[in-house]
Order: sequence, then C-alpha cells, then structure tokens
Amino acid sequence: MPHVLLNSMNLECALRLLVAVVCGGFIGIERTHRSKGAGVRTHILVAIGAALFVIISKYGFSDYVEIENTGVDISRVAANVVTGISFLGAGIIFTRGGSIHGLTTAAGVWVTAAIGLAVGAGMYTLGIAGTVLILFVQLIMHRGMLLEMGNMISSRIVVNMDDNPQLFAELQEMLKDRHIEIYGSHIKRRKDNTLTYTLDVRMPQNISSKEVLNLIKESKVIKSIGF
Amino acid sequence: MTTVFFQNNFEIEIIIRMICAAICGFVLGIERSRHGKAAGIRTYMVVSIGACIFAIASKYGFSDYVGMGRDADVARVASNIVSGVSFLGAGTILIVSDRVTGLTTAAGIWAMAAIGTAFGTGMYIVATIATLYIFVIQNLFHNKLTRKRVYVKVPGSVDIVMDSSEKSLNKVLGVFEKYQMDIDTTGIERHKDDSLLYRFAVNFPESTSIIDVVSDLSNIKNVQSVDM
Repeated sequence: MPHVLLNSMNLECALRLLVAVVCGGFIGIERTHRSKGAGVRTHILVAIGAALFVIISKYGFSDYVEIENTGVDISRVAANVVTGISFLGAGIIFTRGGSIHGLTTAAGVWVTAAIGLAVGAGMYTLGIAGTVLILFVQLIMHRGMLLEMGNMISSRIVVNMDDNPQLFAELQEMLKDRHIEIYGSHIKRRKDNTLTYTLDVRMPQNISSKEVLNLIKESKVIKSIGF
Repeated sequence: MTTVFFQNNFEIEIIIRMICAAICGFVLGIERSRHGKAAGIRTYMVVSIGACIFAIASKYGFSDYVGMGRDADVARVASNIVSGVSFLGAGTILIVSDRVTGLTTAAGIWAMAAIGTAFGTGMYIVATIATLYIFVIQNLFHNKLTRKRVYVKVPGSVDIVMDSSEKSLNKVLGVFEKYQMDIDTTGIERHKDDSLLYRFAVNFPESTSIIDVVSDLSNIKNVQSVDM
C-alpha cells in the first residue's frame, strides 16, 4: 500500500511532508481559530511533525545495522507518535463545572497526527481519503445541523441579585422560557447581602448580547448577569 | 536518505549534526520570540539539540557492546523522544478562564523535536526541507492578515458603560463588526442611575488598533465610558 512516487528518496520525503502540510492545513482551516485554541498552524505543525517522525522511523536507522546483534524496528518511533500526540491532546481537555470541554479539539489534533503519520509512511491514498472524510464530517456536523438534532451546549451564567427565593424562582422561569436548563449551581453571598449564583447550564445555542440585554431589562431585580 | 559526511572522524559528524539542529531551532524560534511567546528561541533550540542528542545516542551509542544475548534496537531510545516531548508539550498548554492557550507553541515544540531527531539520525536534507516548510508557513501567517479564513485573532475584553437602549447596543455591535471582532461572552451589570455596564469578552484580529476601536465606541451617543 505505501507508494514511492519519485525516484529520489529525498524528493519523495519532501513530497510527503508537503502533502502532510496541505492535509493538516485543510483540517486546520475548518477548525478556524476561535477561543478553542487549535488553529491552522497547530494542525499543520502536528501533521508535519508526525510525518517527519515516521520518515525518520522508517528510513533513518537502516544504514547502521550491519553490525551483528544490532537491529532496528523501523516502526518503533512511529508507534510512539500515537502515544505522544495523545499526551498533547490530553493537555487540551479540561473540565468546567462538571462538563468536559476541549474533547473535539483534542480528537482533531489526534486525527491530524494520524493523517500525518499515514502520509509520512507513503500511504498517500489513506492520508488524503482520511482528510476528505474528516472535512466532510466537520462540514456536515457543524452547529446548524447539530442544533436541529437537539444538541445543547454547556455554558455558565453568573447572576447577581437580592436574596429572595421567589425572585430566583422567577429567574428560573425566565431561563426555562428560553430553553436554558440549569444542572448545577453555586451560591455565594456578597457583602451587600446580595447573592451571586453561578449556574452551570445547557442551552440550544449561545446567547447573543441582545438577549442578555433583554433578560436584564425584563427582570428588574437582576443586578448583574454574565456568561 | 541518511548522509554521513565524516566517516573517519565521527566526532566531527556528531558536532555538525548538533549545530544544524541548533541552527534550525534558531530559525524557527525567532518567529515565536518576536511575538513574546514563552517558548522562544532558546526553548526551540534546546529542544532541537536535545532531540538530536537523544537520536545520536540511540543510533550509535549501543552497537559497540552488543554480543551474545545482548541486542540493540537502534531506534528504541529515539522512539521515546516522541512521547517525551509530548509530555513537555502538554505542560505548555494552559487553560486560562476556560480558554486553551499555548497549543501552537506545544505543536511547534513537537515539530522541532522531529527536526532535531532527523538531524540526529543524519537525515540532513529531509530535516532542512521540513524546517523550510515550517518557516514559510509561519511567515505566511503573519503576512496574510487580509484573508479572512486564516485570521489570527487574539482574546481581549471591552467594558462599556452606556444606557439600556437596544439602539445603543446595536451601534456597539456595529463597531465590533466593523473591526471584525467576535464576541465570546457578554455580561451586564446595573450601573448608576439607569445605565448599564457591559463586559464583552472578544476575539479581535492581532493587527487591530485598540485606540481606533475605543474612539469609535466613545463616539456613540449615550456611551459614557469605554475600557479595552
């Protein structure tokens, strides 16, 4: 399955690295840099690093194994790319108020390394097909379609208001009207006897500034509200 | 694939490989340093040299003592460079107020280790080509700020005190759109009298002049104060 397309091995490797850069670039462009952190450059660097490690793994050691009892497992370095990139991915994942974030970003980095690895080994078809499939998944499964499927996003709302359970019940009603579900809360009392509620919520989509304005106008008792 | 320049004097060969690794680390590190990132020239050079040394030791350090019952897999030590540097990279990643940062730096260290390893095993040409690719990519990104898709946006915050009318909010949103600023989160606090304090967490293009944004926002009627 691996193909060697050019006669000169050095040029071949240059081609493989280039294809890795392109594949990583495409995946990265679709994961455009928002506050998630993994942008085009990250994906390109991961892909080219993985491809380079595989090239080293496969071709970098064979010239020194003529000595007896010296061997080389040419897949060993490549094998560690899998574990290695997973550590990097693990650093991206974090928990906030009981829900996990960064998982998709970490998985994206992981799969980019896989594609870089495939291309580095010479399996162009596998790498390119994988890239196309990932792009397909990302484009089809973007926010719009997920919303229609009832997907909710997790977020956090911080509200400051007077200490009055009835008012809080009214606030909950208001949120419920907007399809915001509260699944976790943390209450802190401030010096002026107001309470600050930190609510972990699930809602169909991110709240726009205008809706926040409407919320605070609707309920005169909210002193401050933030996301 | 691998070249050995000095067959007879291997010590010099090793030194040349390390120097090459250092040079490539320097070349790629300059760009990071110029942006004030934590991992700058020194980190990149050191990671590159370190990976190079590990690779050299892996490949050439054990064959002199193999024999009956003693084998050497010349790639084994080098293979652990990969996992090892990922630990380092994962430690570079920081999560600050629910945002992940340092990812590009971590990926850069990962690629740098790959280049250092390549030099260590003697793959001069491939390593140089990889360095070239990354160098070009890095510079492409800082010159092509006009292309919407590859915008580098940095996080920031804007605090505005103004009245509670939707019209004013619309004008503010208009200014944000003009400077291609994306709003992450919005917070509103009741301020004196009938005014509200808006706290926006935003992402804006690196090249934006903060002064321009602030002055545009201050020019909106009913905006009492702007802080960015």
